[in-house]
Amino acid sequence: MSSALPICPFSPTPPVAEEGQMSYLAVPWSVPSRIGEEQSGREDPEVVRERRHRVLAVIENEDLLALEVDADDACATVSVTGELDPHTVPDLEQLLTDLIGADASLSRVTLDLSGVRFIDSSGLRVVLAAHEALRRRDGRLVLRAPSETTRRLLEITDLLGRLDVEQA
Amino acid sequence: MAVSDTDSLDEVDDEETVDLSLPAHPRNLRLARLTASGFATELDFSIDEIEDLRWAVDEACAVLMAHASPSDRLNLSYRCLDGVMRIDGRCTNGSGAEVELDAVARAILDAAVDAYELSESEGVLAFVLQKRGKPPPT
Repeated sequence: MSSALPICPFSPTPPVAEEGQMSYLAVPWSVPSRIGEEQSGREDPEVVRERRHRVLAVIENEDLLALEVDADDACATVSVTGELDPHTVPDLEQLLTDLIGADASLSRVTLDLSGVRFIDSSGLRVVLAAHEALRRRDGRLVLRAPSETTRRLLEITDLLGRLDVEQA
Repeated sequence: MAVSDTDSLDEVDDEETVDLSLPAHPRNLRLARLTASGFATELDFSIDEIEDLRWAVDEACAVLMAHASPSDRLNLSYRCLDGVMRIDGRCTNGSGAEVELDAVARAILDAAVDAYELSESEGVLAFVLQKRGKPPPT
Protein backbone atom coordinates (compact mmCIF):
# COMPACT_ATOMS: atom_id res chain seq x y z
CA MET A 1 0.00 0.00 0.00
CA SER A 2 2.84 2.36 0.79
CA SER A 3 5.31 3.61 -1.72
CA ALA A 4 8.35 5.76 -1.10
CA LEU A 5 8.76 8.73 -3.41
CA PRO A 6 12.24 9.81 -4.50
CA ILE A 7 13.98 12.33 -2.33
CA CYS A 8 14.07 15.62 -4.17
CA PRO A 9 14.83 18.51 -1.81
CA PHE A 10 14.98 21.08 -4.60
CA SER A 11 11.64 20.32 -6.12
CA PRO A 12 9.67 23.58 -6.20
CA THR A 13 6.55 21.78 -5.07
CA PRO A 14 6.14 18.81 -2.73
CA PRO A 15 5.43 15.46 -4.38
CA VAL A 16 1.81 14.49 -4.63
CA ALA A 17 0.71 10.92 -4.22
CA GLU A 18 -1.60 9.31 -6.72
CA GLU A 19 -5.06 8.52 -5.49
CA GLY A 20 -5.03 5.71 -2.96
CA GLN A 21 -1.27 5.83 -2.59
CA MET A 22 0.53 6.71 0.58
CA SER A 23 3.48 8.90 -0.21
CA TYR A 24 6.37 9.39 2.14
CA LEU A 25 9.23 11.72 1.41
CA ALA A 26 11.82 11.06 4.09
CA VAL A 27 14.07 14.09 4.08
CA PRO A 28 16.02 15.08 7.20
CA TRP A 29 14.67 18.50 8.02
CA SER A 30 18.01 20.31 7.82
CA VAL A 31 19.34 18.69 4.65
CA PRO A 32 17.98 21.05 1.97
CA SER A 33 19.70 24.17 3.25
CA ARG A 34 23.07 22.43 3.47
CA ILE A 35 22.76 21.01 -0.03
CA GLY A 36 21.64 24.39 -1.31
CA GLU A 37 24.71 26.11 0.09
CA GLU A 38 27.04 23.53 -1.44
CA GLN A 39 25.48 23.81 -4.85
CA SER A 40 25.40 27.54 -5.20
CA GLY A 41 28.62 28.44 -3.46
CA ARG A 42 27.67 31.87 -2.15
CA GLU A 43 24.14 32.22 -0.96
CA ASP A 44 22.12 35.26 -0.11
CA PRO A 45 21.26 34.70 3.60
CA GLU A 46 17.68 35.66 2.85
CA VAL A 47 17.49 33.02 0.14
CA VAL A 48 18.95 30.41 2.49
CA ARG A 49 16.47 31.38 5.20
CA GLU A 50 13.62 31.14 2.76
CA ARG A 51 14.76 27.78 1.50
CA ARG A 52 14.94 26.42 5.03
CA HIS A 53 11.37 27.42 5.61
CA ARG A 54 9.66 25.05 3.26
CA VAL A 55 7.65 21.94 3.10
CA LEU A 56 10.06 19.04 3.48
CA ALA A 57 7.79 16.08 3.59
CA VAL A 58 4.31 15.11 2.54
CA ILE A 59 2.61 11.94 3.63
CA GLU A 60 -0.79 10.91 2.43
CA ASN A 61 -2.66 7.82 3.49
CA GLU A 62 -5.52 7.39 1.03
CA ASP A 63 -7.94 10.19 1.82
CA LEU A 64 -7.75 9.57 5.56
CA LEU A 65 -4.62 11.42 6.64
CA ALA A 66 -2.22 13.99 5.24
CA LEU A 67 0.93 15.16 6.98
CA GLU A 68 3.10 18.10 5.97
CA VAL A 69 6.39 19.04 7.53
CA ASP A 70 7.73 22.54 7.50
CA ALA A 71 11.06 23.31 9.16
CA ASP A 72 12.98 26.41 10.06
CA ASP A 73 16.27 26.28 12.00
CA ALA A 74 15.66 24.36 15.22
CA CYS A 75 11.89 24.24 14.84
CA ALA A 76 9.61 22.03 12.79
CA THR A 77 5.88 22.14 12.25
CA VAL A 78 3.89 19.07 11.31
CA SER A 79 0.44 19.87 9.97
CA VAL A 80 -1.96 17.00 10.48
CA THR A 81 -5.13 16.78 8.41
CA GLY A 82 -7.62 13.95 8.69
CA GLU A 83 -8.19 11.11 11.12
CA LEU A 84 -5.73 9.58 13.58
CA ASP A 85 -6.58 5.99 14.48
CA PRO A 86 -4.69 2.68 14.51
CA HIS A 87 -4.85 2.55 10.71
CA THR A 88 -3.25 5.94 10.07
CA VAL A 89 -1.23 6.60 13.22
CA PRO A 90 1.81 4.52 12.13
CA ASP A 91 2.43 7.19 9.44
CA LEU A 92 2.59 9.96 12.03
CA GLU A 93 4.68 7.80 14.35
CA GLN A 94 7.22 7.09 11.60
CA LEU A 95 7.37 10.72 10.56
CA LEU A 96 7.96 11.98 14.10
CA THR A 97 10.55 9.29 14.78
CA ASP A 98 12.44 10.27 11.61
CA LEU A 99 12.09 13.97 12.24
CA ILE A 100 13.21 13.93 15.86
CA GLY A 101 15.91 11.36 15.22
CA ALA A 102 17.34 13.11 12.14
CA ASP A 103 18.82 16.11 13.91
CA ALA A 104 19.70 16.38 17.58
CA SER A 105 19.53 20.19 17.41
CA LEU A 106 15.81 20.13 16.66
CA SER A 107 14.40 21.59 19.84
CA ARG A 108 10.78 22.37 19.08
CA VAL A 109 8.18 20.43 17.15
CA THR A 110 4.73 21.91 16.66
CA LEU A 111 1.88 19.61 15.76
CA ASP A 112 -0.77 21.68 14.02
CA LEU A 113 -3.95 19.81 14.86
CA SER A 114 -6.40 22.27 13.33
CA GLY A 115 -7.18 19.82 10.52
CA VAL A 116 -7.68 16.77 12.73
CA ARG A 117 -11.20 15.41 12.39
CA PHE A 118 -10.72 12.48 14.77
CA ILE A 119 -8.08 11.27 17.20
CA ASP A 120 -8.14 8.32 19.59
CA SER A 121 -5.84 6.75 22.16
CA SER A 122 -3.44 5.49 19.50
CA GLY A 123 -2.90 9.07 18.34
CA LEU A 124 -2.45 10.31 21.88
CA ARG A 125 0.15 7.61 22.56
CA VAL A 126 2.24 8.79 19.60
CA VAL A 127 1.91 12.40 20.73
CA LEU A 128 3.04 11.40 24.23
CA ALA A 129 6.01 9.44 22.88
CA ALA A 130 7.17 12.45 20.83
CA HIS A 131 6.65 14.71 23.83
CA GLU A 132 8.86 12.45 25.95
CA ALA A 133 11.54 12.10 23.26
CA LEU A 134 11.87 15.87 22.94
CA ARG A 135 11.68 16.47 26.67
CA ARG A 136 14.62 14.13 27.24
CA ARG A 137 16.81 16.57 25.30
CA ASP A 138 15.22 19.73 26.70
CA GLY A 139 13.04 20.20 23.65
CA ARG A 140 9.32 20.88 23.40
CA LEU A 141 6.37 19.41 21.62
CA VAL A 142 3.57 21.92 21.12
CA LEU A 143 0.02 21.04 20.10
CA ARG A 144 -1.40 23.91 18.05
CA ALA A 145 -5.06 24.69 17.52
CA PRO A 146 -6.75 21.46 18.62
CA SER A 147 -10.49 21.44 17.95
CA GLU A 148 -12.90 21.60 20.87
CA THR A 149 -13.41 17.85 20.51
CA THR A 150 -9.68 17.10 20.55
CA ARG A 151 -9.28 19.39 23.53
CA ARG A 152 -12.05 17.53 25.34
CA LEU A 153 -10.25 14.24 24.65
CA LEU A 154 -7.07 15.71 26.16
CA GLU A 155 -9.08 16.73 29.20
CA ILE A 156 -10.73 13.40 29.85
CA THR A 157 -7.42 11.57 29.47
CA ASP A 158 -5.78 14.01 31.88
CA LEU A 159 -3.20 15.07 29.25
CA LEU A 160 -4.18 18.71 28.91
CA GLY A 161 -1.97 19.69 31.84
CA ARG A 162 0.94 17.52 30.71
CA LEU A 163 1.23 18.74 27.13
CA ASP A 164 1.88 22.22 25.76
CA VAL A 165 -1.22 23.39 23.95
CA GLU A 166 -1.49 26.58 21.88
CA GLN A 167 -4.85 27.82 20.77
CA ALA A 168 -5.17 29.28 17.28
CA MET B 1 -17.86 -0.08 34.49
CA ALA B 2 -20.19 -3.02 34.36
CA VAL B 3 -23.03 -3.26 31.91
CA SER B 4 -26.31 -3.73 33.74
CA ASP B 5 -30.00 -4.03 33.04
CA THR B 6 -29.45 -5.17 29.49
CA ASP B 7 -32.05 -7.92 29.31
CA SER B 8 -34.72 -5.56 28.09
CA LEU B 9 -32.54 -4.59 25.16
CA ASP B 10 -32.71 -8.15 23.89
CA GLU B 11 -36.38 -7.52 23.21
CA VAL B 12 -35.71 -4.72 20.77
CA ASP B 13 -37.46 -5.12 17.47
CA ASP B 14 -35.12 -6.13 14.64
CA GLU B 15 -36.14 -2.99 12.80
CA GLU B 16 -34.49 -0.98 15.57
CA THR B 17 -31.21 -2.85 15.18
CA VAL B 18 -28.34 -2.15 12.81
CA ASP B 19 -25.93 -5.03 12.24
CA LEU B 20 -22.54 -4.54 10.66
CA SER B 21 -20.00 -7.18 9.71
CA LEU B 22 -16.51 -5.99 8.77
CA PRO B 23 -13.10 -7.47 8.06
CA ALA B 24 -11.27 -7.07 11.36
CA HIS B 25 -8.75 -4.59 9.98
CA PRO B 26 -8.08 -1.13 11.46
CA ARG B 27 -8.92 0.55 8.15
CA ASN B 28 -12.55 -0.33 8.91
CA LEU B 29 -12.63 1.49 12.23
CA ARG B 30 -13.91 4.48 10.32
CA LEU B 31 -16.99 2.51 9.22
CA ALA B 32 -17.70 1.40 12.78
CA ARG B 33 -17.47 5.02 13.96
CA LEU B 34 -19.56 6.29 11.09
CA THR B 35 -22.33 3.81 11.81
CA ALA B 36 -22.33 4.74 15.49
CA SER B 37 -22.57 8.44 14.74
CA GLY B 38 -25.28 7.92 12.13
CA PHE B 39 -27.33 5.76 14.46
CA ALA B 40 -26.92 8.21 17.35
CA THR B 41 -27.87 11.14 15.13
CA GLU B 42 -31.15 9.41 14.28
CA LEU B 43 -31.79 9.09 18.02
CA ASP B 44 -31.21 12.80 18.64
CA PHE B 45 -28.06 12.35 20.71
CA SER B 46 -26.19 15.62 21.21
CA ILE B 47 -23.00 16.42 19.33
CA ASP B 48 -20.86 15.66 22.38
CA GLU B 49 -22.69 12.39 22.98
CA ILE B 50 -22.13 11.39 19.37
CA GLU B 51 -18.42 12.15 19.71
CA ASP B 52 -18.37 10.08 22.89
CA LEU B 53 -19.87 7.13 21.03
CA ARG B 54 -17.39 7.49 18.18
CA TRP B 55 -14.50 7.36 20.65
CA ALA B 56 -15.96 4.43 22.58
CA VAL B 57 -16.70 2.33 19.49
CA ASP B 58 -13.28 3.11 18.08
CA GLU B 59 -11.45 2.11 21.26
CA ALA B 60 -13.43 -1.08 21.80
CA CYS B 61 -13.17 -2.18 18.17
CA ALA B 62 -9.45 -1.36 18.08
CA VAL B 63 -8.85 -3.67 21.04
CA LEU B 64 -10.67 -6.54 19.34
CA MET B 65 -8.98 -5.92 16.00
CA ALA B 66 -5.58 -5.97 17.66
CA HIS B 67 -6.23 -9.57 18.67
CA ALA B 68 -8.02 -10.75 15.55
CA SER B 69 -6.52 -12.68 12.67
CA PRO B 70 -6.42 -10.91 9.30
CA SER B 71 -9.15 -13.16 7.92
CA ASP B 72 -11.49 -12.65 10.88
CA ARG B 73 -14.59 -10.52 10.83
CA LEU B 74 -15.78 -8.10 13.44
CA ASN B 75 -19.52 -8.28 13.99
CA LEU B 76 -21.22 -5.23 15.43
CA SER B 77 -24.78 -4.69 16.54
CA TYR B 78 -26.23 -1.25 17.27
CA ARG B 79 -29.49 -1.05 19.20
CA CYS B 80 -31.49 1.48 21.14
CA LEU B 81 -34.32 1.19 23.66
CA ASP B 82 -35.77 3.91 25.87
CA GLY B 83 -32.98 6.32 25.05
CA VAL B 84 -30.19 3.83 25.84
CA MET B 85 -27.89 2.95 22.97
CA ARG B 86 -26.16 -0.38 23.18
CA ILE B 87 -23.38 -1.57 20.90
CA ASP B 88 -22.20 -5.17 20.92
CA GLY B 89 -19.05 -6.31 19.16
CA ARG B 90 -17.43 -9.70 18.77
CA CYS B 91 -14.69 -11.44 16.84
CA THR B 92 -12.39 -14.42 17.14
CA ASN B 93 -9.38 -14.07 19.40
CA GLY B 94 -6.73 -14.96 16.84
CA SER B 95 -3.79 -14.10 19.06
CA GLY B 96 -5.04 -16.00 22.10
CA ALA B 97 -3.64 -13.19 24.24
CA GLU B 98 -5.49 -11.68 27.16
CA VAL B 99 -7.45 -8.52 26.37
CA GLU B 100 -6.14 -5.47 28.15
CA LEU B 101 -6.88 -1.76 27.99
CA ASP B 102 -4.11 0.72 28.57
CA ALA B 103 -4.64 3.71 30.81
CA VAL B 104 -5.49 6.14 28.00
CA ALA B 105 -8.05 3.85 26.36
CA ARG B 106 -9.59 3.08 29.74
CA ALA B 107 -9.89 6.80 30.54
CA ILE B 108 -11.66 7.39 27.22
CA LEU B 109 -14.14 4.57 27.76
CA ASP B 110 -14.76 5.59 31.38
CA ALA B 111 -15.69 9.08 30.23
CA ALA B 112 -17.43 8.30 26.96
CA VAL B 113 -20.06 5.72 27.93
CA ASP B 114 -22.18 4.89 30.97
CA ALA B 115 -21.10 1.26 31.02
CA TYR B 116 -18.84 -1.08 29.12
CA GLU B 117 -17.52 -4.62 29.29
CA LEU B 118 -14.74 -6.42 27.48
CA SER B 119 -14.68 -10.18 27.69
CA GLU B 120 -13.05 -13.28 26.28
CA SER B 121 -14.73 -16.66 26.28
CA GLU B 122 -13.77 -19.81 24.42
CA GLY B 123 -11.70 -17.95 21.87
CA VAL B 124 -14.27 -15.23 21.20
CA LEU B 125 -13.64 -11.62 22.15
CA ALA B 126 -16.61 -9.41 22.84
CA PHE B 127 -17.50 -5.96 24.08
CA VAL B 128 -20.67 -4.23 25.14
CA LEU B 129 -21.08 -0.46 25.31
CA GLN B 130 -24.06 1.39 26.74
CA LYS B 131 -24.85 5.07 26.68
CA ARG B 132 -28.00 6.94 27.56
CA GLY B 133 -28.73 10.10 25.64
CA LYS B 134 -29.54 13.10 27.78
CA PRO B 135 -33.07 14.35 27.36
CA PRO B 136 -33.27 17.67 25.50
CA PRO B 137 -33.78 20.76 27.71
CA THR B 138 -37.43 21.64 28.28
